[in-house]
Amino acid sequence: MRAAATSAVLLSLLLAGVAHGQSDADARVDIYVDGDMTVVAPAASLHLETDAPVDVDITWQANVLSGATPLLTADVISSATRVDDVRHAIDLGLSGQPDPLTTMTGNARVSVEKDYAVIAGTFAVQREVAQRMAVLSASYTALFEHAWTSHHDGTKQSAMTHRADVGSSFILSRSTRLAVTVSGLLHACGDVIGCHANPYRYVLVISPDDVLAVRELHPDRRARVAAKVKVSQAFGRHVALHAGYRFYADSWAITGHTAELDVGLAGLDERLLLRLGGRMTRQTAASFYEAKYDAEPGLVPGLRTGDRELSGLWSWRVGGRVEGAWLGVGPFLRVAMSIRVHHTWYLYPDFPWAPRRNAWVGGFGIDAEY
Amino acid sequence: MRTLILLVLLSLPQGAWAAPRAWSAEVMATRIDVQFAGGTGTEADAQAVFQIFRDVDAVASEWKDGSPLAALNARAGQPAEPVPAELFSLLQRSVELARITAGAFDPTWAALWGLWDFRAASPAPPSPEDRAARVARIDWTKLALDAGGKTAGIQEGVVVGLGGIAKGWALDRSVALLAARGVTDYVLSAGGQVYAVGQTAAGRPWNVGIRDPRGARWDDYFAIVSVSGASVSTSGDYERWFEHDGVRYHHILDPRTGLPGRLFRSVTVISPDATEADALSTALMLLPLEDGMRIAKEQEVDAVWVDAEGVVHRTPGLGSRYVERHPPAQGPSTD
Repeated sequence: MRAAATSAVLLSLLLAGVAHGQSDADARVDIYVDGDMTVVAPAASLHLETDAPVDVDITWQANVLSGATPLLTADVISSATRVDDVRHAIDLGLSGQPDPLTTMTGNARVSVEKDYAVIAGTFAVQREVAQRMAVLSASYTALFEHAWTSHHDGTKQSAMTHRADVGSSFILSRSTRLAVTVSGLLHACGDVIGCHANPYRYVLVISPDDVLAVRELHPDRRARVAAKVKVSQAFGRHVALHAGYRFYADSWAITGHTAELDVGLAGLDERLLLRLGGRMTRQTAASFYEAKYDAEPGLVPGLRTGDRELSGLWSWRVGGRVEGAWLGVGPFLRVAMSIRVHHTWYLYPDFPWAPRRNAWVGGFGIDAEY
Repeated sequence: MRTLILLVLLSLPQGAWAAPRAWSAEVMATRIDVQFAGGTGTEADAQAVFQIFRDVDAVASEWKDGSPLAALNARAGQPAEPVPAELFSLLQRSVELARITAGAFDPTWAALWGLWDFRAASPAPPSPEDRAARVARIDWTKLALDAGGKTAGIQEGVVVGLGGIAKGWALDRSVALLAARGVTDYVLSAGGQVYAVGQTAAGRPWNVGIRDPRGARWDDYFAIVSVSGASVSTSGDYERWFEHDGVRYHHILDPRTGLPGRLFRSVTVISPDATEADALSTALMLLPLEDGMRIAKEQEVDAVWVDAEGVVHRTPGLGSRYVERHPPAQGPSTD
């Protein structure tokens, strides 16, 4: 973990040293901590603008996961004890403007973990209309995932995901902005039935004379739709209010409603920005979710999951973010810093093993233009 | 048109694409897992382990028609006859363990087969008369062994079952085989009984979790024992049980009474001898704590008890190798 964080900083400094023109180096470390898990995510990126019609961006990212009390982890109880992992990602992207109002981008990503690999490609187009008072956008993503168990042989699963998004944002007035987004997603198993399921997650099946622990099994396909509306209203030059609502529904009978509200305050000649806000989410459970299944002897439910994330959920999040930017600091054209802290309460009323969960999320970042 | 190129080149972590070095198979109606941690150990080694379990099952299963043990049971009341060398060794070992435990472990316990029906729609304890009739047929001294001729015979009405030590026996044979093949770091698991050798990939002894007998999930464990070169065997009252008139009846039956043990929720035995650990974990479920402590000391093994009220007891020899994550969960008492 320490080596990964150090690498992020060194890479950032090294790359910043060779950049010129309107180049930009960025390094950050995000930290997620809750009762069971710690995630440290160092990242660094460099944007190089050259005289040629080609710009170069280089990014590096690592997620270092660790579980609580690793010294007390058993080696031979496999599913609940795998709490360490390292993810590495490679990105390749292209973008261009066929005309001043249209932007087209394409990205490819390869990510590798101990027991999971993903290859993803995205194509997106965005066009400004109505005298640049509105933006229309559309994107398509294809994602191939391959998962395997690292402790046992025989479990190798693949899945293909197609995602389409369309969105629009409108500048309604000098102080009001409206954004509307609609997303659709189809996730289908590739070569193994039930690939949505986690190979390490088991459910309890209880009959009058037996208790079985069997692997969870999900439907092969999952179709999801989501719609989001967000309104931003400025009050003078120093205060802005943002309000949003998101509706979610999928073919597993999960529906979700999310409402969020935050306020932004600018000070010190707009060099300092403070954002404070909160978010509330309500989600219903998947139709086949049970904390434990009561079954006739010898009968195991065809679809089954005890996944907390597929159970009913209430969550509340509050937090804030501070950003500061300074021009002409030493050799840099601009230096920006940001700190963010959120706290989230989760309530899982249908998950008796751990019905409550709290999490702190913090991040610190530095961005320097050179 | 301005073109932007995003490119990141990274070195992948060593071993990120390495195939898992673990294998499993279903033998003896349970799951056998083989996991190698060091540079030694191949799929051929794992398959050799599975073959040992199949071989032991073929010899010592009382359920397989035509097995040497089934033939011995079929000849009850007849003169002793030669039996295969491996079966004779198993029978010898079972008698030795019966003597050590004063009959709390008894290879003739199989006379209780069918007396308790834990899978019935409305399970109920058997009548005292039925129970007494079965218990009268249990007596390990009625198993006659002659080391000279490798013969075995049992008296009329006696039934031998070796399920209480067969997995441990197969583990011991597997460990011997892997040592001969030069495999140094691995863990074997046979239906919950573990044998750990050498070190993990992290360079430390193996951490073996002890299941919480009243844990909410099947993989909850309340303590960890750090072992290398030893077997960890746990018996508990939570695998198969029913409640009748408010009383919990589980499947670990005392061969001296025909009733489930009432003293403990689980017992874990740690020993370099997996056969011994297998038998003692069952026997110590049925003996008072002081007797179990004495046997553990005499046999130079370690043990962890969770008593009927959820209180943990352990032998002092475990020392710092035993780490308790949390007290065992509370739940229905054994009584």
